[in-house]
Amino acid sequence: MLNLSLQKLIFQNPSRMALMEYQPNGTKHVRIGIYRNHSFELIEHTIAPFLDFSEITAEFVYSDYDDSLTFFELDKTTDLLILWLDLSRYQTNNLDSFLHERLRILKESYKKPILAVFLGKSRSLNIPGIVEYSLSHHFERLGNHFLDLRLEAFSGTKLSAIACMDISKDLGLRYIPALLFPNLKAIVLDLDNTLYRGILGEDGYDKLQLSKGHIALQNTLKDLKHQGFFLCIASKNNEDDVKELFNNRLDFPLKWDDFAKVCCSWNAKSQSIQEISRFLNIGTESILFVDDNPGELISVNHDIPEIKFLLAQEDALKTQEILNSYPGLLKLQTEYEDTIRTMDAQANQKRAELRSHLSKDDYIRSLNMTLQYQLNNTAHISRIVELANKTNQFIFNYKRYSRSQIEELMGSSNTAVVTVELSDSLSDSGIICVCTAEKQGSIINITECFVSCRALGRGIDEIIVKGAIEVIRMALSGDSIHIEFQKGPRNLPAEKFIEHYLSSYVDAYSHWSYRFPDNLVNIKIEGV
Amino acid sequence: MKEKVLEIISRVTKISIGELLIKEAEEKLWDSLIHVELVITLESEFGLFFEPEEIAEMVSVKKILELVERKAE
Repeated sequence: MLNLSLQKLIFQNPSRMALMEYQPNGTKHVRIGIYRNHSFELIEHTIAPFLDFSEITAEFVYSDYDDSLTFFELDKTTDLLILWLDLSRYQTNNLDSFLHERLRILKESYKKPILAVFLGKSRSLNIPGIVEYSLSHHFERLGNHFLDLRLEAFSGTKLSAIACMDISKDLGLRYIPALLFPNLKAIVLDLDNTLYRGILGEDGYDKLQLSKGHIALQNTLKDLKHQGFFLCIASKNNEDDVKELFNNRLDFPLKWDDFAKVCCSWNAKSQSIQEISRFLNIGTESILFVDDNPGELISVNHDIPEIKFLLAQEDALKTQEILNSYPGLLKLQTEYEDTIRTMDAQANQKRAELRSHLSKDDYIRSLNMTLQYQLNNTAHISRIVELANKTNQFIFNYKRYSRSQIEELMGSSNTAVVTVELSDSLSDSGIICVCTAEKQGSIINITECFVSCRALGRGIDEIIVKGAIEVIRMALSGDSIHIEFQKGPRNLPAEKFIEHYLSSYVDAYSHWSYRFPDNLVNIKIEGV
Repeated sequence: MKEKVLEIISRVTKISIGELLIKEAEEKLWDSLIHVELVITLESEFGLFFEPEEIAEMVSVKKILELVERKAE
């Protein structure tokens, strides 16, 4: 959704009044619980435009002020809980153990995402499943203006108005979207006057200016690539000129190989973006398009309204600042799979070349693939939750598991979680499939299964999924299988797979029989 | 100045200027969080800094007008 006036409002030092008077249009309605011992309302007063930029409209549900953290009146129907605590109110010497104990109890009873925000001595409790948001960088930036004790008697918090505005920006743009919705997956970049100052086709690569701001912006983009976001180019330039630019401008932090896909064409940029979306096998709603030309943004918005937009500024430092706060780019935990993503996408191109001149089985053998199945491996929980919440196409039921739900499934004797890791001679794809099940009497019910789009199309979908079910069958000791399937907005690939391979297990349970193929892929099974 | 102060109070409290003038001396027209927003906005708009005892005084339109005029002199 293109909203240039909102970008201008929130990134050009808005007044508190302008933020308070903003009328939001956010499309995703959420309810956020605030469990607190000091006031959060000064944050709520200014958060609407930031949430709106994240396409969110929020209703805040407040607890009473509760220093003892009883959680008796906790509203468990909210989508997210913010634990908002002023630790300077506590006199105890054993504050850490008190907080550990109470937060552990909270986590047992509240199964949705929890964000803990502590005012007072900086501390890190490292409780799995509870994200901690430190206020220390606001304190470092604002110094004596961080607190305003004059107003505490009226506001109910020691935080100053300016600190509250900073925090509402951070929560509204970065943390609340990151806790509630999947991350973006790719950033599609314009070149001229976005990544540098100048026009490549007119000025030539050697005359392009790289300001300190552009260096900072390119470094931020490179860092985002290392966190697992695909970087791509959609440019109205000749591809040879662009290659020449990246080969010769060694002062550019970004290199040609940093881009998963480069689309240079004189056609509408929406066509390049659609091509990138198909190449990466990701939806256009998970792409951020960055361009300095409002006309290009408006044109792309007409063709692809669901895409996200950033209008690059003449001052590249400003563009970097917006990018640093852009909704959907905060990863609360970077997984191994994130760091290898671009290499894996680039390897897909080599796989396509191999496939074009080999039979299917020869192609699979030539890649020397290994599938590793693991049962109830708790080290995989973060990746399982990430994949559960962002997979849209090859997914049976959109269960969108939370961390605590996966922990429960792994901890019970009649349920099981199997992860599948894939590697081949070209790249390591990490965990690409998860399958969960519950044994009911003598029948094993497959409750969920999802496969990362990066693993599909290599000719081994059947082995991945049926192999995972076979490992579950071994773990839960049964031979009758039933598969739950719920048709959703975009899971046609999963539906077609079930129709082709598993149709007899959907409407009723059936006897299960599967044998891993010989000499096609290497199979490893652990934990059974 | 009076018009600007009244406009700010009206925008923050969402009470019309006409009603604010009718109830100029009336206290408790707004709650403590709106009170804080009024203090913050007036400080920012007029470049003022209110002492704690002055903040405690700002309970009616009349008292706010008097205080801002006095501080801005």
